[in-house]
Amino acid sequence: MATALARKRLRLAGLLSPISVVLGVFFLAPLSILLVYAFLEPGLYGGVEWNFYHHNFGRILGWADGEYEVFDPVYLAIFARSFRLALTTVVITLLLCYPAAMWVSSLPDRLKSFFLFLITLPFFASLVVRLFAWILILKPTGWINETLLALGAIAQPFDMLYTEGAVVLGMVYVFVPFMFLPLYANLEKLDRSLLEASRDLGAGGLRTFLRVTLPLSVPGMVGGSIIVFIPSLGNFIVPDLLGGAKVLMIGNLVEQQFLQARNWPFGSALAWMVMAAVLIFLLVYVSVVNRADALQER
Amino acid sequence: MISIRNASKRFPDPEGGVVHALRSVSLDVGAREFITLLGPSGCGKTTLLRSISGFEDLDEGTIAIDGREMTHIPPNKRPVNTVFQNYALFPHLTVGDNIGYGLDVTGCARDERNRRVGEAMELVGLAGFDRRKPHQLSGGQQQRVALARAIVNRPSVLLLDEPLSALDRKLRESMQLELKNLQHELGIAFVFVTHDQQEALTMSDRIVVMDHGSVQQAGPPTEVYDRPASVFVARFVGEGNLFEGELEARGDTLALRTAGGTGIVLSAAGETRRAGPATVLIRPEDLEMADDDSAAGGFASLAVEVTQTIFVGTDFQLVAALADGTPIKATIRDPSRTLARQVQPGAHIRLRYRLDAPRVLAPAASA
Ligand SMILES: Nc1ncnc2c1ncn2[C@@H]1O[C@H](COP(=O)(O)OP(=O)(O)OP(=O)(O)O)[C@@H](O)[C@H]1O
Ligand SMILES: [Mg+2]
Repeated sequence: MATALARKRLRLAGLLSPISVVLGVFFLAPLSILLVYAFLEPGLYGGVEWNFYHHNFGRILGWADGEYEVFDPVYLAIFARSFRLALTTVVITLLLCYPAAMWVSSLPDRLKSFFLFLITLPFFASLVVRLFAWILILKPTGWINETLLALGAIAQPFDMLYTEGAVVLGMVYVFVPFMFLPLYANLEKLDRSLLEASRDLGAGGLRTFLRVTLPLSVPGMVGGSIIVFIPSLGNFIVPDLLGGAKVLMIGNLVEQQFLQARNWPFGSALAWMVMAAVLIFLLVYVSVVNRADALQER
Repeated sequence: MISIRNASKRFPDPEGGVVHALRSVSLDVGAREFITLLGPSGCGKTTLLRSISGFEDLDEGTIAIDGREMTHIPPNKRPVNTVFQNYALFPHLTVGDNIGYGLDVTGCARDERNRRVGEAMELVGLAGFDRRKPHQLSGGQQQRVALARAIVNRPSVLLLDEPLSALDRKLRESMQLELKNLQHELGIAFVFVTHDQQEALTMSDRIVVMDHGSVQQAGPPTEVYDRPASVFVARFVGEGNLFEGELEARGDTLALRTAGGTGIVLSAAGETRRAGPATVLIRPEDLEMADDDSAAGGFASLAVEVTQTIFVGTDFQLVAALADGTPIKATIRDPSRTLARQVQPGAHIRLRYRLDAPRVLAPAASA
């Protein structure tokens, strides 16, 4: 009995140790270093002074020492914008993917695999190349503007590139598969006989959707939203290429602090703020979803 | 109530051919009738049921309910409700909301809705369970929820697709009785699907035996059992000893001569087939032990050698062989257990039957 338990533990340890080592060494350790750095004083020419220093957070949240560090509301504004753009991305991908996932999940098996393959096709090309293609499309001399000009629909080229719209467009484009797959996995295993039962009891298509399909696909929507929201919030490639200097997001800020300003403590503080924000957001989100679930249970 | 005319339905099969799920099925269901669709797996029972509820479109033929043609009416507009084979309860709704689903759809007033849900739960013996979720119920309880959810809408016809097949035997037998009583109480038609002949015999006003998409016989249980229309029906409903051979008339009796040389004598009364190749059915319970070799008036007997004896409660079951080796089964009432003690495998005995007990059927090959 005891030895069986011990053997089971040993096997579990054996199975879990590789991932534990990877996550421990390459994830938890750097994260801890980042946390320590966030509370150190930045050196004048990069590097750090080993003093406890909380003004890295002060610069962001409003208590700065006034001489070297100043509070600048722009950081909070960038946080707010990042949240707004990430949420917009979540909503748009959700609206785009839901009907598509519903449709694909209703197809015969062979077609299903084909469309799943299509959805993952973008992963075969480099992200940067794909985003550059968008630049070519959106820029003032890009083909949208050229076409509209040639048709005489507009007199001046549109400013499409380097706008929030362009950034959201880019993120939606990048994250569509991340929303699609969890939604599809959820809808695919939805028991069709429940839909028939609803119809049998007199409900039309719309009511069946609202009262059966939609509530039963909440897990897929939650999963997809989380998987899209987190990388959108911290994204820096898309805003860098399609937002330029005008549409900075937190990701760009962190990148600048580490690579250009060489202010590692401030960069660390920013990175930890993002993480804290995501955690709080997720906790609230999940508790709201659970509450709604519990309400249904009454 | 329901009248089905020449209903045909074909499905493409994976190898590129077609499966005839229904072949020109015609059937009428009366207003308060308990009708059972009985047949082996794949014979088209579910397809027929789904055509009535509107989930399958017929290739040919028509279905009318309450005198209304249903061809272009979607499932949600048909006056029928279904108890699904896997129950199909909504997992995210409570038992009460599952049962009230159909009433919510029709916009039934809150008080009325709650009252009717309560009544339906009372009726199926689920009072007090309305706050539970389906996964917190046993199989039998889930089955009752499915039933309550369907009948609460007061359909003119209730369709039930093997609703009892997932239950254990005890529960199943008590549910059979309950369903029968419920149907009586509600005064609506039940179309009940099963592949269990015992269930069909117990519950139905009328049994429709199906095979390969077509109706083999439709009639009251006694008729289907006593006068099967074909060898298929005889085999499928109840147990039977079937003998193939050449029939010949001898005055007011008929005799069947099997290939092995056994002669089976029976009364000619009521039989239309009098000569030529035929199959004769003798039910095991029509056989009994003959006390001596002489066949008394109105009886005929067969000499057999006992191969196996089986004790099944009050009945004594015998497997024996005729002189030519053909096996024959007999079920004999034996309350005092005398036979169980006396008859052993290897014993040579005679089994007798009333002359009017056997039935002549068309030969198996043409069925
Ligand atoms: N959607 C479908 N596509 C293709 N073939 C089908 C479809 N539905 C039924 N069939 C075929 O039609 C025939 C009748 O099927 P049906 O489900 O009506 O049988 P059943 O009598 O209900 O059998 P069971 O007792 O196993 O439930 C079967 O051969 C089945 O394979
Ligand atoms: Mg079936």
